[in-house]
Amino acid sequence: MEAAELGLTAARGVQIAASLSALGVAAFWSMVAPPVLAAADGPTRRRIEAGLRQLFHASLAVAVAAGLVWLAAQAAFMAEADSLADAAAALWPVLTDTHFGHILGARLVLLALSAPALGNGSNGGRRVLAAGMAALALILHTWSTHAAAAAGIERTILLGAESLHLLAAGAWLGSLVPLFAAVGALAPEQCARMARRFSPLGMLCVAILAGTALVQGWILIGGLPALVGTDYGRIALVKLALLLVLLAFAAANRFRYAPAMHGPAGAAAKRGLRRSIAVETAVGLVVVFAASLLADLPPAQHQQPVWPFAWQPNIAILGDPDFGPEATGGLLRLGAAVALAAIALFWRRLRWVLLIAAVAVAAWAVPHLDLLLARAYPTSFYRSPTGFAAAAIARGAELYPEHCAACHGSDGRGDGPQAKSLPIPPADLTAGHLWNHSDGELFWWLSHGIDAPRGDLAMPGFADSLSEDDRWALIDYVRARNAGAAMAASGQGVHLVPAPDFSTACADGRTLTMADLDGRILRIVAADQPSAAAAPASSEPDVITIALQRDPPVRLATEVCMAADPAAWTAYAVVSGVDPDALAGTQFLVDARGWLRARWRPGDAIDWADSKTLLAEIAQIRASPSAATVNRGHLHQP
Amino acid sequence: MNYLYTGSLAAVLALAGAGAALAHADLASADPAAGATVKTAPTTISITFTEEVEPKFSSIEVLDAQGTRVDAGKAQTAPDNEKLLSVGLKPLAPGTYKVIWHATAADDSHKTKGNYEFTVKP
Repeated sequence: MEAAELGLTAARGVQIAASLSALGVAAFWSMVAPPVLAAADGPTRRRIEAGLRQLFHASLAVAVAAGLVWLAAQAAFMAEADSLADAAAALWPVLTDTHFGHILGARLVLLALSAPALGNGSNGGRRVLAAGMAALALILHTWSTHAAAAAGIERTILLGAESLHLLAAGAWLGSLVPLFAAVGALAPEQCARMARRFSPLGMLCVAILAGTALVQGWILIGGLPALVGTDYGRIALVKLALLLVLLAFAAANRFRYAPAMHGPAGAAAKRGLRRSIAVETAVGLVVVFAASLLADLPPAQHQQPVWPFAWQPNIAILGDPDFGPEATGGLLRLGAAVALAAIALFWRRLRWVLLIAAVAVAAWAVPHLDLLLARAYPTSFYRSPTGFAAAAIARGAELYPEHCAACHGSDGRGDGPQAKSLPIPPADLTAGHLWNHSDGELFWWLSHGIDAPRGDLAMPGFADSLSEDDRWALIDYVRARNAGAAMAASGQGVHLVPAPDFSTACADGRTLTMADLDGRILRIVAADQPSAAAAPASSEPDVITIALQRDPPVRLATEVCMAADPAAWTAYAVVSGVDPDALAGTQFLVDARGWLRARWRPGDAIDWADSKTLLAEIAQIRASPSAATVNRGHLHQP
Repeated sequence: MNYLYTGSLAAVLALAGAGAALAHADLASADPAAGATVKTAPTTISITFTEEVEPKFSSIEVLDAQGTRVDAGKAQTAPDNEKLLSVGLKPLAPGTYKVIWHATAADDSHKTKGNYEFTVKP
């Protein structure tokens, strides 16, 4: 990380921490402190109020100063400034002409104005107003984060969750310093009352923090592999661990120190409480900086997760007709062993009998538990970055004969000329078994090879001879051809495959990809004659006709979208198991979620050239939507 | 009637999922396309990003085979589409050109960069 970036992360962290503190002071002064202060004697009350006022002003001063440093660091970063002069020249344009500048500027003005809004703090309404302004400054911040860059309903959910998350963090962590100050000035009994009043607010905030973190984690991280396999996920885990530490301190404050205030050791308990709050504040600061680090990283959802374990859970085995019953039995026995051990904890008289029984049942379970784990590789959870692009399938088709056919055979059946000389026969790439392996697993084998049981090489790795893009292209090609071969053999589709992606130029001048066409049913026609892509008689507003073209393209009689890249022609030939030279006239239907659903070739019994038949086919696809949308979401290169 | 019906859950899980566009402006498409060979020399380079970009802090540089800049300077976003960044070009002779882009995402100010080549061959 360069100096400017590190400065950016640090300035953002300090700015947000100070903003949280401003909200916390105002919230504490509005919601927690008043009854306790009212009961305190005059000089103590005035001392505490002066302290709270100073804390609020100090928070604002730090927030505004750090905000200006943040602006400068962001300007240097955006302008890729090499010198201070370059960075300084970018300051004003960043503030006035960028989304980031507008948001930060508005936030700093709000924070600065909240000081006169509070006044001397004696008026309850003005304290609430100041808290509201500090809260608004935090909510505004979410509009310049990952949340704002999301789309659709996810954007709304993320903005809401992050706003609540920041407000809860402010009300809880930001209240710790004023609590610390107030506890210092109050008598032990009053401290206990303050701590008890603080507790419900703290618990509500923790519940909100955990709930909103779960929502954000679900959307931005999205699963166990991303949680343990990316920097973003691991920092989120660190935040979770620190939250548990914070909770331990909060529990100690409420259940250990607060009750002890009333006893003879009240003064010692008060010192303990202050120490505990101080450490809690420090841990809270670390959490805020961890959050600032997260803001710099691409969300885990868009990274390739590197799986850190040699095994992965294999829940699918429970539904396997052969091994399912054994795996289920093993799991039930393990559950029984755990239950017995748990009972043993509480049932003192039978403890040893129960423990021995638990060990015995566990020993009975263990031989079957390995079924529940499957071998895993670092790339097991990688997703293909190609989006099943036609260009990738066509590229794979170019690479396959040279790099794969010698062993796997030109048809992919595992019967190439070199197959006999190998320690174990090469995989039949046309078998249905291919679909039991993830893209990430295939990528590992293709990159690093496969060892035979005796230690010799069953398959070489291609990491050194083929680029990453080429390896992903081969995986797309092998999948497409597997689906095509199954279709050519049975005359029917066997595997659900995404429609190969291509860009298409439409009559209105727009260039569209599959992602843009989400929600539409596509009728794709391999067109080599002017009359080939005539639209069905009745117009269907959600159906778009796209003509695949070869080089040179033909001029069509009807105005439809055109896929001029010959790779699209090749890819649709591969995925339907037809020779590219024989594809002309073939039609495909793609459902609204991007899956290839049906194919028709001239001469098939049911005639799509009859528009009634075609419309019935379309109606059937519309009536049976696929369960999920094809993920063509982008990944960030490391 | 040829139905390509649900075959394998694993494949569906591998290829389906939530695909929110988040956080980083990456290249979605370009005109001329990355790696393309075009017959007529383009007069502008247009890049569509996965997100809206800040025009003042995003750039497109185009270099010829000798490393000389052949773009006309400041890149602009389209008035109705902040995802589309384009830059004018000086007249291009046949040859291979390198496009170097830098983008700043409007929503969260993250920076991304990349490059690709295209060829003019009449």
